[in-house]
Amino acid sequence: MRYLLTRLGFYLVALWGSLTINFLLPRLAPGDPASSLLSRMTGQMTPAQLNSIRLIYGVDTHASLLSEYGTYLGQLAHGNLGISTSYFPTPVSTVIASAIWWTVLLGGVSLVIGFAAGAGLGILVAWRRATLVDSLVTPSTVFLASVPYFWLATAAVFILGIKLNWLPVSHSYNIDLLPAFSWPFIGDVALHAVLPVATIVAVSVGNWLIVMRSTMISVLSEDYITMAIAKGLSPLRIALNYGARNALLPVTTTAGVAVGFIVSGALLTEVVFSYSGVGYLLFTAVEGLDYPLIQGLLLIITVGVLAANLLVDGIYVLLDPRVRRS
Amino acid sequence: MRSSRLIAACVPLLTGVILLSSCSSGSSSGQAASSGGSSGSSAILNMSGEGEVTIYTRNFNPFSPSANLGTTTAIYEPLVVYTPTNGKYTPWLATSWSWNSGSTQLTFNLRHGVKWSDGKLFTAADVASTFQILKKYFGGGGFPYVKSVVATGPYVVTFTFSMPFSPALGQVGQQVIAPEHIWSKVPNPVKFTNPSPVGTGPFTQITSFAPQAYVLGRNPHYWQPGKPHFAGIRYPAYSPESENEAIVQGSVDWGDAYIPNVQKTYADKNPADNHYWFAKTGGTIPLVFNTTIAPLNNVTVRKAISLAINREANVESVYGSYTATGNSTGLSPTSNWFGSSVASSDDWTTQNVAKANAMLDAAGFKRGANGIRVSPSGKPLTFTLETGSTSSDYVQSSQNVAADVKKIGINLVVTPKAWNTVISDVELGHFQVAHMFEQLGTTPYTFYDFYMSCDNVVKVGKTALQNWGRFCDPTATKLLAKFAAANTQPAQQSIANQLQAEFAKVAPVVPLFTQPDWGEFNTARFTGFPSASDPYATGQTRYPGAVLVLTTIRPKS
Repeated sequence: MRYLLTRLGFYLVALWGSLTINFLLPRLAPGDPASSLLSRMTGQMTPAQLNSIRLIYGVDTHASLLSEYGTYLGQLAHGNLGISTSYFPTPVSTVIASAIWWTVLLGGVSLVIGFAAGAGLGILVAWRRATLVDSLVTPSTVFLASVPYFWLATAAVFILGIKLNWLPVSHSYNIDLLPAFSWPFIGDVALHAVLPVATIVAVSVGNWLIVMRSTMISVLSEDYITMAIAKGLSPLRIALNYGARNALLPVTTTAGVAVGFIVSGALLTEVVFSYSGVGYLLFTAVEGLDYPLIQGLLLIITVGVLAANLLVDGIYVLLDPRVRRS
Repeated sequence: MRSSRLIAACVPLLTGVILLSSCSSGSSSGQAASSGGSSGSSAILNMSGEGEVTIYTRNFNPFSPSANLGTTTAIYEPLVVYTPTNGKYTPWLATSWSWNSGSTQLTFNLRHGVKWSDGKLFTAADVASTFQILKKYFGGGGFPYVKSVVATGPYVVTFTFSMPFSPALGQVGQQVIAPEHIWSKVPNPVKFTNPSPVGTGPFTQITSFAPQAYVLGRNPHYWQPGKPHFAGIRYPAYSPESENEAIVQGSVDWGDAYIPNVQKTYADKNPADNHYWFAKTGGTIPLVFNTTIAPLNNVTVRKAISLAINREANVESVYGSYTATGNSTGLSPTSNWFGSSVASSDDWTTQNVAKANAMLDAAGFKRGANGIRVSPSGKPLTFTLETGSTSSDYVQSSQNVAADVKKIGINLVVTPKAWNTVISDVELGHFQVAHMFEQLGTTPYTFYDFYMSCDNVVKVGKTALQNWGRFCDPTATKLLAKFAAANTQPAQQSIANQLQAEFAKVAPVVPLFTQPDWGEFNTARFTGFPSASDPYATGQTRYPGAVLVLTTIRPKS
């Protein structure tokens, strides 16, 4: 109990720290949301209109940073993320709500596939270590993992999307369709997810494989494995029930932490594929200096990571008696 | 954006409704954007436009600068519509207007029989209430000179200004009008997203809305009988990357993106249907100088820089000659205010390197060892030239200018920055030279007021909403006041000519070229788009004149 309370306190301090950074970071950039609108609407806005927009956006050059900070924390305490300036006057929470599920879908599916493929291959290459399979699969997945993601995704867009025209390269579904719970729509969403998911899986599978392979190998050298072999159990049963089951434990905690990074990890993918999730939203929010939206998105990312860590801490307590005792 | 395989196979047939229902072979769902109105063609016009957002929220607030596309062009309408191609004001919700002798009062006679899309009558109370909302909640909404707006009759509305201000016609006249019976009940118009708009425009019904696309359907009570000629407008959310691709692929009927080498990449792909028209009606793109810094406050230096520039080569390199080069009036040569007599006596906007060198030599700017000139006080003529890094056309133009200017011994260091930073720099006066964007108004008042009026000069470090260069010209300031007090075309033209002559004399900024108004039109499904031979509007999709196009084009049947 004491352990959990200490952790909780630590998370509160971390939350406050990141909230403060969320607040300060966008404000270090020069300009303001109205000036970024001016550059978009070049010449179509009179100086007086610009002035009036600054007013309604709440761009007050006289307000001190400290009083703005107070307002920001006060709003947050009431669960109010403010009003987006690039979608003015839509509340930030509405803007994020319309985008976040795409990111969760993309990140969740890639995480599950990447984890399953990586762990599965990790078990295989650990069981057959130093064979042809191991010396082919391990270096090639590790090689893919070390390719810069941006380069890999751009190459995939260019070759599979534009040159061969096999797969759609932008948006989360065909914009001719209306969202509906139907097979054509779901199929279309799946088709649009193929390239983004495939590229994320390609670069992440190697990491899972390495972690899985090394824990699996150390588990396989345990006495109870030797015992199992001596008993004459089938190799498959030994590999899965005795080896993999024990080796998966530490890997699962890593996966728990990875859940927290779904939102932040999607940024690059969504920019390359113009995928309408929160990553692309953050990209446009930064371009438009939409402080409230940037803050809201960073908050989601922070809370995601912290919550995932907290969850993992909780699971540790359940799984590991040593933590409970200390 | 790229169509999925299923759809791509059907594209030659058509798009929109008809297409999907005929191609998705009986599937009950994933239905396309449905059609709107009750009569006439069921065709849906596909527009591009923003190229900025990939997600829409349901925001149709006509007072919001970030409302969805179509809000101020298809749903809500202004009193008059200005057409830059011919300089005319088309009567819209107002049928006529008149000035008092001092140009402090403007009276509009409103159109009878106009109905809001909910069937209620449009009256002068709606106009008065719109401007009251702007005054109360939006800090005047960009019209600080408006003192009062009074409905002096059911169809007469009178604006009173705090000073003589004839350019107001193009400003208050083009403000879109919102219905009083709806907006008077909105507690805070600033924070209202107006998800189900009621307007007077041709397309007011939101027939479908999804974060990636929405469809505006026909206004059942539209005041122009028989119009619009088609069922609705579809606005897909394109990213900048996907917008151009969609236009080139033919999935956009009307777009206004800048497409590099448009003839080859767009028109030649399908000469029968892919058309573009880049009206040379935009504002002047200038080099702006910080005139608080010596020797940029010296007219000889500014004119010498101007003389060094090969404008034809610059325009050819940046836009492939789709636009007009800048001249010594600061106005576009296609503007009907353009005084050719001033421009023909031009002596500083046609390239003449020898003359520029002679001027600088005579003014005592001697060449230093590295070929860069040095001012009499010993400072080398090296300046930063800022521009927005995302505007590849301006970056290219800046580099061309810098290369030309180097020939006369002035070093302009091209410094692309984020537009936010550039705007912040010029507003605060923390810049040297900047390659800025246009200042477009319905009269030349806007441009000259922006760059020459002493009234708008603020200290370095304070935000200058206009006159970034902090250039004060007393003659121009007096002329501008006279222009604002004149309300007949001949009187205004004569003052405009004097302003052009003054601009040519003092060269506050260096005009480079006219911003072209891009427009791409796919005539496979619709006809009647504006063109060079029928310039009833420009191809711009976002600005007030778009309603002229929306009420003119018709589907091919």
